[in-house]
Amino acid sequence: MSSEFHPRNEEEARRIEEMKREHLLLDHKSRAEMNDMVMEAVEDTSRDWKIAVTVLGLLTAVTLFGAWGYMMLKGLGLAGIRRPIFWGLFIVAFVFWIGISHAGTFVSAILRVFKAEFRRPFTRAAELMTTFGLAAAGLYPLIHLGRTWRFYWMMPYPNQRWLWPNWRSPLLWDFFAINTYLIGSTLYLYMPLIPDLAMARDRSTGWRKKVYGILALGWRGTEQEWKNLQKAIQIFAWAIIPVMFSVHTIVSWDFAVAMKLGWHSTIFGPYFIIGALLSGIAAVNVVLFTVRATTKNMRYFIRPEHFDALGKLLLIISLSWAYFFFNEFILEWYGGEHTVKEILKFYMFGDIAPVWWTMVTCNVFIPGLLLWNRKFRRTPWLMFLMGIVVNIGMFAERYVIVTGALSRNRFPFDWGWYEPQLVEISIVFGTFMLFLFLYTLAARFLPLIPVWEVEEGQHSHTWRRVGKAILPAVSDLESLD
Amino acid sequence: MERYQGRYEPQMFVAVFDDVEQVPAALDALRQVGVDDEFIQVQSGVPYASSILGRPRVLTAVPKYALAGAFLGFLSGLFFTHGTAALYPLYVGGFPLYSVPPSLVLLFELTMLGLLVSSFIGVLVESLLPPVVGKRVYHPAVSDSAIAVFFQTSRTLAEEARKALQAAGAQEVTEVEGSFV
Repeated sequence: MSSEFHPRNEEEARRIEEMKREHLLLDHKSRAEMNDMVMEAVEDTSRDWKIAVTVLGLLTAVTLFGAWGYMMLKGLGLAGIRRPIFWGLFIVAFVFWIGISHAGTFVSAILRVFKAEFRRPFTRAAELMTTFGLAAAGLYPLIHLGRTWRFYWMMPYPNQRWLWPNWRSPLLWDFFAINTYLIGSTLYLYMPLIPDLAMARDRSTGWRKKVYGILALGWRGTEQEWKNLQKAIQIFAWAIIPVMFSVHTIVSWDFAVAMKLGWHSTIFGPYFIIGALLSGIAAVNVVLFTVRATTKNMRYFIRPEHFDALGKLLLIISLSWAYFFFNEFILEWYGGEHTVKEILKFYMFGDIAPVWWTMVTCNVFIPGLLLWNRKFRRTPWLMFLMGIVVNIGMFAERYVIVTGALSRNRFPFDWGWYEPQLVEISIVFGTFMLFLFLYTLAARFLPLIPVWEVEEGQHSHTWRRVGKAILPAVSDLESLD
Repeated sequence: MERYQGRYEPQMFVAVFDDVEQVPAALDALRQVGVDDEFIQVQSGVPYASSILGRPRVLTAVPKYALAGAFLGFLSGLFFTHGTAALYPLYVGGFPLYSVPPSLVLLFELTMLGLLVSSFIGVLVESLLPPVVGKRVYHPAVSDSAIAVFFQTSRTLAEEARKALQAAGAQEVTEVEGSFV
C-alpha cells in the first residue's frame, strides 16, 4: 500500500524523521524485513539463553514441584496455616497470578475494541502473560487442597451414588471460571498467531518448519480465511472482556460470600478487578522491558511511546484502585462495627502494618507521584521498576486481605498470627520460576510480535498536511467490509 | 482432435503483486479476459477488505457458530445446575432444590465457554483448516506481504490473462498445481 509522502523542505523532512523515530506505525519497514527481524529473535537460542532456561527449569523443578511433592508426602501441616488462619500464602499467590493474567486480555481485548493503535506490537507479549499467569494460578487450588489427588471431586460428573458436585460452592465457580478463562484466553492467543506461524513455517527449516507447519494449520491467507479469523477475533475481543471480569469477581466472591468481617463486602468484585488490572498492566511493563532488553530487534517494535501509553493507563488504574480502596475502607470505618474496627486497626497499626503501608505506598503514592511525569513514563527501565513496585504493592494487598482479615475475628480467643513456612515460600517462588521458564521458552519459539497486525497498522497510518504542519493520519481499514 | 487435448481443460495460474494498489486493476483485467470472480482467489499476508480489492463481499458464518455454541453452553449449564438436582432430589436444611442466583454464575461461564470454543471451531470449519485431502494452492511470498492472485482458466485464455496481469504490474505469472479449497 502506498505511503509515499514528499516533504517540501528540510524542516518538513526533519519533522517526518522525528515522528518516525517516535511512532512504530509511521516508521514503515517492508514486511520481509520485519519478518526477518522477528524470526532472527525467535531463532536466537544463544548460550546465555540456554543457561537461563536450564537454571529456570531446575529452579522450577526443585522449588515448585520438589517442595509440592514433599508437602504432599508429609502433609499440609508443613504449611503455616493454623486456626484461625486457614488461608495463607497459597491463596495470596493464587489471587496474585489471577490478577497478572488480566493483563493480556485488558491490553489485547479492550484496546482492540477501542481500536487503540499503540497496542499492536505488544498484544501477544501480554496475552502470553495471561496464559502463563493462569497456568501458575491454576496450580494453587490443587496445591492448597493438600490431598491433590482428590482434585477429581471437582470435575462435573456424579459419584457412584449419583451425587453431583455442589454447584453452589464458590470453589466450583472458581473451577469453571478459571477453566473458561484459560481456554478462552489460550484460543485468543492462538488465533491471531496463526498467520505469524504460517510466516514462521515459510521461513524456517528442520524441526521448526514441521512444528510451525502443524500449528499454522495450513493457513494461506485467503480472503475467506481472513474474514473468518477477523470475525472470530472480534467476537473474542468482546466476549472475553466479561469473562475476564467474571473471573476476578468470582475470585473475590471466594472471600465476599463468606460471613467473615473484613471480607463480606459488596465492593469486593470491582475492587478485585481494578486490582487485577493494576498488577496486570504493571507486569506488562516488566515483561516488555525484559523482552526489549533481552531479545534481538525488539527495540524497533517496542518503543518509549508504548511505555508512555502504558504509564498513562497505569496511572488511571492506580487512581481507580485508590478510589475503590478508600470506598471500602471508609464505609467499614464508618460502620462502627467493633470487630471491623479491630481489623482496620490491626491493618494500620498492628503487626501487619508494614505490609499494609507497603501496599498503600506502592499502589497509590509512588505511581501517583511519578507517573504524571512524561519523561518518567518514557524511560523503559524506570517503567520496569514501577512495574515491580506496583506488583510488590499488589502482592501485599492480597497478603493483607487474606491473612490479615483472618487474624482478627469476633472473639479475641479466635485471633491469630500467620507466619509463612519455608515450603510455602518455596512453592510461591517456584511459580514465579515456572512463569519465567515458560515465558523464556515461548520467547524463542513463538513470534512475540504480531507482524501482520503491525503491518496492518502501518498501512493504516500515513501523513497529512494541514496548513504548514504535517500530522500523522489514521485510516480505519479494519472497519471496511 | 488430439492436438486440442488439454487446451480447454482449466489450468491454475498465479500472479504475484508487490503492492495491493495494483491488484484491483489486475482483477478487472482478469474479468475482462473472461475469468469470473468464482475462479479467482486472492491470498495476502494482511487482511484486505473486499471493498479494497474490488471483490465480491465475503460472508462468514462464524457468528452463527458462536450463537449455537453459546446456546449449547447455556443448555449444559442448565443441565448441571437444575437437571442434576432433579436427577437426585436432595433437600438440605430447608434450602430450595433449585436456586437461581448461584446458578447464574455457572450458566454465564458455560454460555461464554460455548461461545468462545465454537467461534474457534467456526474458523476451522469455515476456512477448511487444517486441509484434509488434496493439494491447495499457496505462494510463500504471501507471508512477505506479496499479494497472490490465483486464477483458473483454460490454456487458450491463459496467454491473454498473463499479458493483462503483467501489464497491471504482476511480478510473475506462472502455472501452478493444486486447487482453491
